[in-house]
Order: sequence, then C-alpha cells, then structure tokens
Amino acid sequence: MKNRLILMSWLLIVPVFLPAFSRPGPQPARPASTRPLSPRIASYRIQVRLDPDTRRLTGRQTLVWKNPSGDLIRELQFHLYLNAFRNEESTFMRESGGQLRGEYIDRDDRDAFGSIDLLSMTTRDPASGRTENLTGRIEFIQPDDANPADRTVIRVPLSRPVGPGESITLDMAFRAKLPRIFARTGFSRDFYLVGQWFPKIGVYESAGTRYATQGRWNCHQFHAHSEFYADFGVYEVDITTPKAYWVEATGVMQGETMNRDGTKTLHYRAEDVIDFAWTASPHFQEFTDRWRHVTVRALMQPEHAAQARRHLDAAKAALAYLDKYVGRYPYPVLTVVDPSIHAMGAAGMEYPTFITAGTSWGMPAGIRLPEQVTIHEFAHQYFMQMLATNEFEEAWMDEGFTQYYEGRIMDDTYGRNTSVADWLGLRVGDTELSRSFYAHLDHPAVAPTFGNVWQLPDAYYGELIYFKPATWLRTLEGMLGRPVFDEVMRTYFERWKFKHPNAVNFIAVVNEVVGRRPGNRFGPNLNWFFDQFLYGDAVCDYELHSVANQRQGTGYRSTITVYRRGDAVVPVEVLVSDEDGRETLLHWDGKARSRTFTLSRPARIRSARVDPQRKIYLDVNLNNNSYAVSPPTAPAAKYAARLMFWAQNWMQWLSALV
Amino acid sequence: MMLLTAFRLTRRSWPMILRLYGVNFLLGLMVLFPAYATLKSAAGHSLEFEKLRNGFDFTVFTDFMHTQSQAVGPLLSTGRWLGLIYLLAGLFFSGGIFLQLTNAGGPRPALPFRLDSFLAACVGYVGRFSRLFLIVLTFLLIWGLICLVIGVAVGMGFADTLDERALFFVFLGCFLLFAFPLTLVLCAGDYAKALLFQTDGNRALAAFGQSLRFVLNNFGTAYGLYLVLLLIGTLCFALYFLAESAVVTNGWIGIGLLFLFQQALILARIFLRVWMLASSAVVLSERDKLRLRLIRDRHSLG
Repeated sequence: MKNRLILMSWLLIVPVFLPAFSRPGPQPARPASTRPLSPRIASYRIQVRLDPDTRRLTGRQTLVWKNPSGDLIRELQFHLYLNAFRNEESTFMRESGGQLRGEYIDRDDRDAFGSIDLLSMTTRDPASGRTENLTGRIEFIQPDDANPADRTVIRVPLSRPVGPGESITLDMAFRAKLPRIFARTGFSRDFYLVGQWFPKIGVYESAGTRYATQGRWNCHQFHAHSEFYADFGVYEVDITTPKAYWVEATGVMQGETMNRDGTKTLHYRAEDVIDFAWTASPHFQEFTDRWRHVTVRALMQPEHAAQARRHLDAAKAALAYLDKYVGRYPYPVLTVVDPSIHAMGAAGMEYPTFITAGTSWGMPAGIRLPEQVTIHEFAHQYFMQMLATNEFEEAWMDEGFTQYYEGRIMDDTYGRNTSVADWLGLRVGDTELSRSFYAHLDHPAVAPTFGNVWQLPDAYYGELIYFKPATWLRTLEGMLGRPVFDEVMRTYFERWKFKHPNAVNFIAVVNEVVGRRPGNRFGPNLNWFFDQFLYGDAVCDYELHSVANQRQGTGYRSTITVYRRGDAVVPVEVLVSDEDGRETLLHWDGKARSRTFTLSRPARIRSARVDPQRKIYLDVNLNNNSYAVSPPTAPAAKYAARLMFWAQNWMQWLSALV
Repeated sequence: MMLLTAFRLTRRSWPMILRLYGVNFLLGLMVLFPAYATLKSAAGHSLEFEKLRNGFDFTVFTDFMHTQSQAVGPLLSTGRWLGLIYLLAGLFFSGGIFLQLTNAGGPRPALPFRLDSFLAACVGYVGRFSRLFLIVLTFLLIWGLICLVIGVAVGMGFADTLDERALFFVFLGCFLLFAFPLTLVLCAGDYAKALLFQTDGNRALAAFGQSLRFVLNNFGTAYGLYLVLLLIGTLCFALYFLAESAVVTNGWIGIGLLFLFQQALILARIFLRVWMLASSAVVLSERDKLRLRLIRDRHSLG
C-alpha cells in the first residue's frame, strides 16, 4: 500500500505546465572575449560532417601548436581517443570491461563499437606554403601499459624540429565511427553526444611543469576513469548535420549556413578552452536564461521540458557560488545538455562551457538529482577546464574539488541535511552523503588518493577520487575555518588558472595562506595533514570513551577520557557540559592513543563531545564522538516501536494471502 | 448495503477482533523488546541519537547501520520469521473467524465469544483452508511468473522505441495486468473460504473454481467490494502518515502517542481483514440464485 501512495504522490508531483522561458532565435555572432586568458598553445580549425545513416564523422582540421618550452621538439604526440571503442582489446575496454557507471556495450552489435582513423597529416609552413606529408611516420604507442592493441595515442617524428616558442601548423584529415553510447560519447538512436572525437595533441610539459624535471610529452592512453589533460587554445569548428538536427557545442555559435544538400553548417568559436564537444538531436527543446554575462542554455528532451527551470536554476546557483568563492567564470556561455534515458551513458559529463546532466520523467522536486549533477558538472569548469589539472595522474584534483564544491553548493542552496533528498520523510544532504560513501567503506584504508588513476583499486575509484578528497577538503575547511579555506581556494585558482597545477602547488598555497594567518595552530605547515589523507591511507576515528564524576569536598572531580581509535592524528577539541549549564572547551593534539582530562568542578559533568563543531568530517564514526552520563533512551524506544509497527504490518500483509 | 451488513457483522465480532489483535501485538512484542534493548545498547552513551528523536538524520542513521549492522540483522530476521508464524496463525484462525461471523449474524443479542468453539472451528477447517491456500499460492506464483516473462518481453520490445514517459505507462499497464488477477485470485480465495465454511465442503480446488466463477459473474459486487475495502486500507495508511508527520516526538508523550497511532492502524487493518471475509460471506449468502446453486453444490462438494 505504501508503494501505491508513493506512486500516486510521484504522479501528482509531476508538473503539467511548462514555464514560459524564452526560445531564442539564432545566436548573434559575437566575440567571446578580447584578451587571451590562456597561453593558447594548441588551436584548432575543424570542419566536421555527421552522417546519421552510417554514424560516421568526416573531418579536416588545422592545428597550430606552439612549443611552450625551451626545448627542441622532435616529435609530436596525439590522442585518438575514439579508438578506445575500436575493439575489446583496447586499454579502456580491458579496464572497464565494456561497462561504465552501469551502462554496458552490446558486444554482439557491430554498431556499438567506434573508432577513428587519421587519414593524413601534413605540416604546412604558412609563410612559404611548403608542405611535408607525415602520414607514413605515424606510429601507435602505449606509454601507460604497453598494450600493443591500444590505438589511442600516436607519435609522429618531425623531420624539422620545432624550436622554443616556435609554432607548427598541421593539416589533418580523419574519419571516425561513433560508438553506441555506453561510456560518455557516441550515438543512441538520433541523439549524438560527440566528445573526444578529433585528433588532439598531448601536453608537452617543460622542465618545472608539474613533476617534469626535463621536457616530456604527457599524452596518456584513454583509460576507464580518466580522459582529460590538454593544453588551452582557440577552437573554430564548423559542424555540418542534417537540417532537422538541433546542434549545440562548446563555445559560442557564430553563425549558421543552410546547404543545398539538405544539411546545415554551424560555426562555433571557443577561446581558451582545452577541448571541444558537441551534441545533435532533432528532439531537443531549448530554454535559456542569463546570469550576469553568461547565457545559460538548457537543451531538454521533450519529456523533461518541465524540469528545464530546475536545471537552469541549479546552473545559475553554481555560477554565482563559484564566482563568489573561487573565481570568475570568464566564458559567455554555459550549455546544459539533457540526454535521453536511452543515452544515460552520456549523462553527467563535463566539457568546456558544455555539460551533460541527467534526469528522468516524473523526477520529484524533492529528489534533487538533476540539480546535483548540473552543479557537479559545472564545478568541473574550474578544475578540469580552467585549472586543467592532469586527470590521469591526479584525478582527485579535478573530481575531489568538484565533489567538495558540489556538496557546498547543494547544501547552501537547498539545505544542509535536505539538499539531495527531501521526500516522504527521507532527508539526505550532499556533503554527508559524500562522507558516507567513504566513511562506510569496509576498508577505508584501502589505498591513498594520490596516484595514477588507472593503477588505483578499480572498485574504489569513486571513494578514493571523489568522496574521500571531498571529505578531507571539508575537514580542512573545518580546521582552517571557511574564510581561510576560501582564501586558499581563491589564491590557488587565481595563481594557477590556465597553468596545469599539481598537488604540490595546491599544498604550497595552503601552507602560504595558513602560515600568514595570526594564531596558526597547525605548526610550520600542513604537510602532516596531506601526508595522512592525500598521500597516505590514515583512518580517523576519535571516540569519547567515558565521563566519570566523583564527589570531592563541595564539588566534583571529573574525568573525561578520549580514545584515538584510528591511525590518523588530528588536533581535536573536547566540549564539556556541566549540569549547571557551564561549558568548557578543551584542546588535545590528538596524538596519543588516549587522553584523560581531569577537572575539578562545582557541578557534575553532564556530557562531553569530541570535535563538537564537527570540523573533523573525516571521522568514520561520528556517533561515538559524544558521551552522556545519563544517555537518552527515548530514541531507542521510538525506533523499536517503529520496528514493531512494520513487523506487525508485514504480518498483516502476509495474512491477506490466507 | 452488503458492505454495511458485513460491517455490522464485523463490529459485532469485536471480542474476536481484539483477540486477533492481541496475537498480532504479542508477536510484535517479540520485536519490540529485543529491538529496544539492542538499540539502547548499541547507542551506548552517545548524544547523537537525540537527533533521531523528532525526525531522521542520515549521518546518525548510516553511521549506526555501518557499525551496528550485526546487531540489527537478527532483529530483521526475527521479523521475517514472525511473518511466517503469523501467516500460519492466520490460516489456523480462518475457520474460527467464519464461525464468529456466523454467530454475529444470528438473532440478537449475538452469541458471546467462546474461545473453545472458536478454536474447535479453527481446528475443523485448518486442513481444507491450508489446501485452499496452496492452490491460491500456486495460482499467484504461476501468474507472477507469466507476468515476469511478459514484463521482460514488453520491456525489451519497447525499450528501443519508446521514450521514458511512454515506457512508464507501459510498465504501469504491466503492473496493473499483474495486480488485477492477483487481487482477483485473493478475492476468490476469500469467497472459496466462505463457500467451504457455509457448505462445510472439503474440495478446496472445486470451491476455488466455483468462487472464481462467482466473482467473475458478480464482478461489480464481489470484486468491487473487495477493492473498496482495499481502498479503505490505503486511506488508513494515508491517515497514519499524516498523523505521524503531525506528532512531535521530542519526548515520551509524543513517542507514546505515535505508538498509539501505530497500534490503531494495526487494529484497523485486522478489522478490515475480518470485514473482507465478512463481506464475502454476506455476498454469498444474500444471493438467492447462488443459494439455490449452493444447495445443489452442497451435495456435490460434500
């Protein structure tokens, strides 16, 4: 019967009217910005045509790549990431087992696979017009796992090296077959989400960039859980599709040309971005809104149109929040794509100025999954896109920060304990949900967060890369205080945007900001914190073990004992509450296995709490953080009665059978 | 009218209903006391559980379930076993319930509830009602299997062509397709019990077949009343949830009040179950045509 109630409520909640959003005509051509924000190392001019009948892309591109180092570059390296879907032997397919986030490839369906072939590559001297064909020199390499069947990275030796600060212009032709969507990119019926689709140059890290002690290419294979690390540039892309398709893409649409063959070509320009993705479908309904200088666009499936406002509001909340607490979003546009239910493999993805969300028809207002995914993917614009950290080697610097800010934005916008769910008595907050995924692992010390993502224990990817970092970032915020933590993040972002920072750079900012604050209680630096929780696998669990009161003259001699059950060491506070209402805050460095405080007081101690402000959010058991001399029994009675009630109902349901 | 007649019969069977509730309550206590002891012990001296007093706290609840799942497991297991015990008890009590309803329908004042005759009727009918239960269960399992196959086939057939809104309605249709025969079989099961009791018959399968035909032939009355009573049960749940959301459980008074609401709902459900059986007995006995057929069938079933 309860199920019937839930169903009825669900149907009633579904909105039956569409908000009166504006439906714009073609976007006027306009420059995205005037002053370069980034080094613009790799800029592309691409023409691509989609053939929906064959699911193929035919493309030509011109890449202008600038040598950012002081080295002579004698070879180039490129990603050909659609080859991850070429067969079952690619590194991606081996690692993922042909599934991602619960979506599976249909191995019996030849159309399910995808690939990309680089048909030609020539260098061109723009001044003289002289060209050199490099096609025959292309060689597949496997820098990560030596899997000879993996064709996601190529190297191309150059006959004429690229000198320091020089640029090279390359013309390429390629042909790609899109996979049926199960992992981020491809097609599903007439919905297309086209990501990682063109030959993309890797990152040349000069000495001093991240961990490079000498110049090197950083061009990883396509892995199950990582795909982003690229240099900034300007993308000018012409996309040709059948006229019936609604197309959106990274950047700003500059114009649209109707072709005589029943197709149209849309011209897009995106500046200071690291990647370019686009979508096409004849079914989209577009809704737009504005936040300051940003046009926010939601491309909704028709059956989800009633939820457009939820997506737009979430995106605007995230824009306002991150603008205030991290830094400015400099792009003029943000597009939120709502994939169809049959293309959920493409849901929840981030590309520059272009994200995919994910919802279902009839999603109750109290279940804020569309808001959650929209906010999460937007937060990537700061970490994956503008800071452009290396997702292969330090995935937590993207996903961990993003998850942390997802929690903050969700909780501050929709309620601390109700942000994810506030429905039929179920109340769940985003930050606490993140923590639970980590804290309730059977083995929270399974591995450090730091490391190459494809070498982490696969079953713990989400916990180690998303939830544990989000939880220790929340702990860091608790220890430093939110104003100091926000100063850390603003400093980190302003200093390192468009520069590929690494963990060392972030920790240096933390130490710098914290070090200059008066009253710093954490020692000369906070390396001890990162050693335990980023580079190490320490588990934190403090327990308020006991409180005892003993009569002593006219007052009481009281003892409070705190245990350190985990191997992590964090300074903690202990709040002692007396029966006469007086409260005392004690401090402990948290290092010993246990600590007993002895106090002489006029009244007995009623209760004590370790970490009373819940700063140490990493604590894997928060229920043992307090001790009451006379503990409450009413909650146990309430839940025992409830268990009895449902057992009685269960009996009565079964009796209906006889 | 027949629903009201059945209601009056049920109302006049209060002593029996209270005893049936007593059985349910006593079995429920087998969850309550261990649960209270376990939860109290598992919570220890923590103050965090105060957050559960008047509401739900995800962190407190999930930390508790993570650290104390071994303590909670046996409680849930007890609940499962109690369900089986109560199912057998319900099977046993059915004969006594019909006897009491028959007595309640007699000349006023109604005969007082007598435990010995109640138990004698329970013993007298438990065998044939058990056979009837196995027949109903077999029908339900077969129909469930058929619906599962149909559901999977429909799901696979439409998954690539329909959008999710259309798919939702397709699955809703499949669910109703499953639910309708399910409730129809349960309804016919109640009529079969009434028939077996009124005719003192032994042939459970024949009685079930005859009842099914009867329900189909008198669809509006027989199945309609059954649905009305199901709807009343649903409304009782809705009222309970409203009451639960209104009660502030900050202290023992609130918790006690909530407990009373919970037990009131259980009592109402038991009342409704007896009402369902009473309505099947009333519908059967008030149909003149059926009565004539029953007279004929009494010889064939006997």
